Amino acid sequence: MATLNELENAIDALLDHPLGVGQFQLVRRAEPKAYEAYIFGLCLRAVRELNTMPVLRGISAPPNPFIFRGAPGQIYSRARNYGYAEFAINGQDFEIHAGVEFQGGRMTHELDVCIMRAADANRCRQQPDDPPSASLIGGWECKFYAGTLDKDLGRTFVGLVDDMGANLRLSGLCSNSAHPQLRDYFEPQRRPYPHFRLTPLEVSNEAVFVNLIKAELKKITAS
Amino acid sequence: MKHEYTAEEALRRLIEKLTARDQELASEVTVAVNSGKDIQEKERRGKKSLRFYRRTVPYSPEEALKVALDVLRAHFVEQPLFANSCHGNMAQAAIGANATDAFPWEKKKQIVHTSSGDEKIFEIEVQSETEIVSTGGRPALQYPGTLTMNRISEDSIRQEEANFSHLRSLTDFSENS
Repeated sequence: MATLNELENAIDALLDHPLGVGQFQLVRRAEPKAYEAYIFGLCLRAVRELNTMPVLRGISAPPNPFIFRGAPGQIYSRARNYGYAEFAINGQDFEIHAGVEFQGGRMTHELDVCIMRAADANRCRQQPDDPPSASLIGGWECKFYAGTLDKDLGRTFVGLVDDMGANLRLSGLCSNSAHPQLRDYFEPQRRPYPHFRLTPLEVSNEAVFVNLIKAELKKITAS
Repeated sequence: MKHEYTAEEALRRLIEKLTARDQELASEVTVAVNSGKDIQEKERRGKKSLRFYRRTVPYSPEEALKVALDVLRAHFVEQPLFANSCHGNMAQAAIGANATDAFPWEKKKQIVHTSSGDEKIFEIEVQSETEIVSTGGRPALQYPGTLTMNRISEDSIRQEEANFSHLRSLTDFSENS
């Protein structure tokens, strides 16, 4: 028989573990961005699996430490030494960014993680401006949700992708959580891919995300 | 397994203990538990035709316990795994010089550290560049600007996973029904 005392001890052990409430209080402000950092890392993995070495850079100095933005910002901002990654495949240069704002059709939009043409990124660093949506290869909305995913997020991201135009070849809503209705909502063509339950606990979902990037980069750089 | 307590009582104890430690986390768990779930209802019309419709219903106490533990697992286990995964992928990238050079062909020469496999330090900005007043009312400058995301030991994650498994087994009422 499971006793009440046993239950209470088990709850205490869970909450008072070094990764329990104490750790949560330490990192809670960074949790949503830690998920973006994880997705950024998966993009690095996709590049590496194409036998290309990604290079980490900072806007002002070598990225030591590598800093992820805490809020949407401009690609040229030097408020901190924000990090990004660059890579080249078949002579074409690309960059991976987190939390950068882009020009949309009618307003600017932030993409949590994106892959874009390096030439445009470089131009916007030299002559401060938001990059055009045409410079994008892929863009992902990243949402860490401990509970069920919010439906509003899907609607908002569909609107963003629509305003970005047809150049955005890859787009997806990445979340460690899921929502059954959102999966159906994303089904029509040109809607973002629902990368739900994208977490290190679901290795096959990570592989789907990485393989989609690899396939698109191969297609773009084939000629 | 037989229990000295009900699922409702187990859920109440969990939320009470959580509230005593962190009210914000406790209310997040409460919101998730209270959000309910979608089910498909059917309505018979006449002898043969059936009509289906969606309906949101509350979780059963057993389901609510599972939802509560899933929320905590996202914070206590998944978050450390995100940091570790990012560390693993960044370790296998090179570190280059800064971005100030205009020409890509110049930048390519400026890889200052190519040995992949070396651990990199990464930080997350907690005070954004436009933040002048924190949400808690204190001046934003009282916070450190960035938070270093350290790699978490695999042992520690395994221990916490074991704690979850143990608590799940103690709150598994499926044999009682």
